Amino acid sequence: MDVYIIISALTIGILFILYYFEKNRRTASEKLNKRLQDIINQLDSQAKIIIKTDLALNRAQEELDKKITGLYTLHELGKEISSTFNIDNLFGLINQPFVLKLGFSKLLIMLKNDASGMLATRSSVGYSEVEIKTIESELNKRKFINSLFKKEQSVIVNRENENISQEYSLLDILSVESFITAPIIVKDEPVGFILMGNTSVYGKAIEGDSELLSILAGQIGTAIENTKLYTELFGSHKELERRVAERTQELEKLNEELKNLNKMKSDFISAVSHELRTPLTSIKGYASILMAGKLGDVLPAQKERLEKIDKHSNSLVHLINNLLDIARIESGKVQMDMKDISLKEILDSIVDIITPQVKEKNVSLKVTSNTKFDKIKADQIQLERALLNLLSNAVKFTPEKGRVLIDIQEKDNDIQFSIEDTGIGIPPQDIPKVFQEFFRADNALDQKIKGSGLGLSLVKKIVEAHKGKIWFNTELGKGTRFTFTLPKY
Amino acid sequence: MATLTGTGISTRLDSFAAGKEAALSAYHQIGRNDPGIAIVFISTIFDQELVLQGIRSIIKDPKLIGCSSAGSISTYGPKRDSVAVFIISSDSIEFTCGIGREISKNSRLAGHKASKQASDSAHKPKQAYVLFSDSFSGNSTNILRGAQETLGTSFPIIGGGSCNTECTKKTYQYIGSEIKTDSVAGVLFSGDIKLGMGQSSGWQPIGKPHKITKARFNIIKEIDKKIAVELYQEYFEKPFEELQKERICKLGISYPIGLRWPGDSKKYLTRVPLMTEDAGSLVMNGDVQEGQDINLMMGDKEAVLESAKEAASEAIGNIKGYKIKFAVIFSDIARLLLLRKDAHKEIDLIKEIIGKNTPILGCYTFGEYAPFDISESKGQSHFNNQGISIALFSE
Repeated sequence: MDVYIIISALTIGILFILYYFEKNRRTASEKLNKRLQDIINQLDSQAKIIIKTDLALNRAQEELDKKITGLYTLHELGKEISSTFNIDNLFGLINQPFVLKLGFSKLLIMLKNDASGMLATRSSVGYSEVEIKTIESELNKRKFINSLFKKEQSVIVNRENENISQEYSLLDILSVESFITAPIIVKDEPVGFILMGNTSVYGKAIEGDSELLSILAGQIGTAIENTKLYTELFGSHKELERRVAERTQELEKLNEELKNLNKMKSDFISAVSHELRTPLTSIKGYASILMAGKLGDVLPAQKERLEKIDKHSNSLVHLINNLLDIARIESGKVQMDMKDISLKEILDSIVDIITPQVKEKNVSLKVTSNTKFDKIKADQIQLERALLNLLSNAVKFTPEKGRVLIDIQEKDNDIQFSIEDTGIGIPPQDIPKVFQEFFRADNALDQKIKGSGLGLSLVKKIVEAHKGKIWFNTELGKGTRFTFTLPKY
Repeated sequence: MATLTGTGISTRLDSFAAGKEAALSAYHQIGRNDPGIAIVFISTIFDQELVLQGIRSIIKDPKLIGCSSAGSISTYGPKRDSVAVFIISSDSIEFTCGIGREISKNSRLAGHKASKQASDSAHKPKQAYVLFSDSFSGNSTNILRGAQETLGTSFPIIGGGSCNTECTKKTYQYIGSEIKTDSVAGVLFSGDIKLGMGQSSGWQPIGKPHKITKARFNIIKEIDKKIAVELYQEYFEKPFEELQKERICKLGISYPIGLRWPGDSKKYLTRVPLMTEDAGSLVMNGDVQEGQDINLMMGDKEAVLESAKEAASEAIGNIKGYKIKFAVIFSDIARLLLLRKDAHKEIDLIKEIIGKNTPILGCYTFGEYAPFDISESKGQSHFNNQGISIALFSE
């Protein structure tokens, strides 16, 4: 019995000890598990913080990327815009890829009609024609204009700012979850707006978009203004071109009439001169016969009158010849006989001819020439005639002890002839008429000096027939310098 | 002639002009030889029809396949918002295409039909299958299963899910001159080809491990005996409304759920939640299994770049010294979103390994088909996310 009790007590004791150890082990294990769980939970909490930070970083990066992409896209568009002056081309560039690149799926560009004040769509992406009509009708009917583009700033609307009830209903009209608008300003006046929207909650319009849209609206405004200016300028240019063409036509007509009149004049002069020359030759002939006494003795008084007849007949022949030459050169009937001629020979020849007149008038004559090029292609007779005319004039209008200078220079492909005198000069009011036929300067000396008033006109015609140019410089009382150029070849 | 490749990338805003420019550039590079196949990736910012018309204005007859993408990958690097046309002209490789429609109704059947159509037309020994599927309809795991039923479980399959600019918008698949949605399009490469493939992800588990306690096919109903969506609510401290329906997708691309790979506690197949159901279940873009250990996953730039090197090295190792003719690369959209401006670094690192002048054709996809854990799974392809898959082709 005692043994039984002892064994039982021992067993109970052992069990108790085992229970005690097991309980301790379990407690320790539970503690360990709890600690492990705590550590895992702690790590999980840290993971949540990491995720939160990662999300914030991603969002910031996403916005930055969106901005960079937007700016790059706008830059690309800006380059295209600057090269177009057609408003439809401009709106064509703001197309689906462009809108999607900016991170939106819908676009509306609406401009106010100048006459009706109603909004009309100029460009759209993501809307059908029927949808556009509905939107236009709703926007015009409900007078959304104020909230859409009369503001100077861009507007962002999404489902979250429901307090803006009017704009909230716009979301439904435009079938978007969010949108952003910016006014299009032309000459400080809002003329419309650009709107971009998203149907998805992911692509909610954000503050950063407003800068991009404002830049875009600014570009569109500038482009509209430029296009208008270009159109106006183009219109003015066209009008100017039309007027110039009209005036040119009128001038051409007048010129043609003048040419005809000139030809008629030349023909008339030519005809009259011919008609005059024949009887003049007879008069001159008869006068010579009478002066020679072939028809009987001539009294001194008669001889004096006959000599006057002869002298005036000579003047008249000279005049008629000049007139005839002018008419013939003008009408192209006289062709210049262009040959290689020596400048030296020409100069020698005219100096020989003019020397008696120079001596008689007691003026000095000087010839200067620095040309290495002695030859010139010209009609020798006509060139001599032109030079003599100018020289003769210079001598005639230079007072005694005056000076006449002949100067010949090479000027590129031309030879330049100058005849300068220290004569009376030409009065300013007569300058424009110098080359006119029959013009004679209005001064006392000129009245005494004989001349037909055809010499300079003839010189001009000869120079021009050689494809040369003639002009003069003059100072009243000090002298005149006539200059003409002839091509070397 | 052997095999010639041409690459054309365009970012022009005019859709038709972009298609034409890319096609013309690629066509010039193959010396105007007959194109065997044109593989096309078009960003959804473009009018898809107009781009294809532009491409077709240059290359009229050849077979064409491809999908919409967030960006192209080529020898020139990654290019977002682009049109990419890759032309392969070869007298040794045969290209046969197939299409499977209505994957939302029966993904497995669609996957089966596409691969069968491609397989039935092939005359040479079949070597590799490249497929593009709609990412937002159907079940990608079943599409792959359908293809494997035709071609074999260990047949080399590579490809990915087509993309749009937003998570749940329509995506497109191209075959011939047709633009499809809710479809799978595939091209089979047959002939005397040597192939080397590699795949890696770089996404790491974060937070404590969890267990799928209730699931069916691609829908997770409960995690740790709690409504599935609570996992995201808890970690992101967002109310259910903010994660409701498709809103969870954008978050899920960067923070997917990793399914622990049996036998290797460090490897995870990832799944992206496409949407939530009213009851808070998560609809994933691939199959999951009840009782599977899972983790929330997070990407890290350095690990992701390192994984690109791993994938390239694995592919090089598998091609066993053969001279590489061209490389096909599919990188997950999540990688582009994580790397952003540094996305080119991933391609640069790969080029350093496979050769700077190796022609590359590829794009960013929403999920990839590629052999996962090649050594253990005997090259069997799986549907995965956040990864980069590389296939090197040699004649």
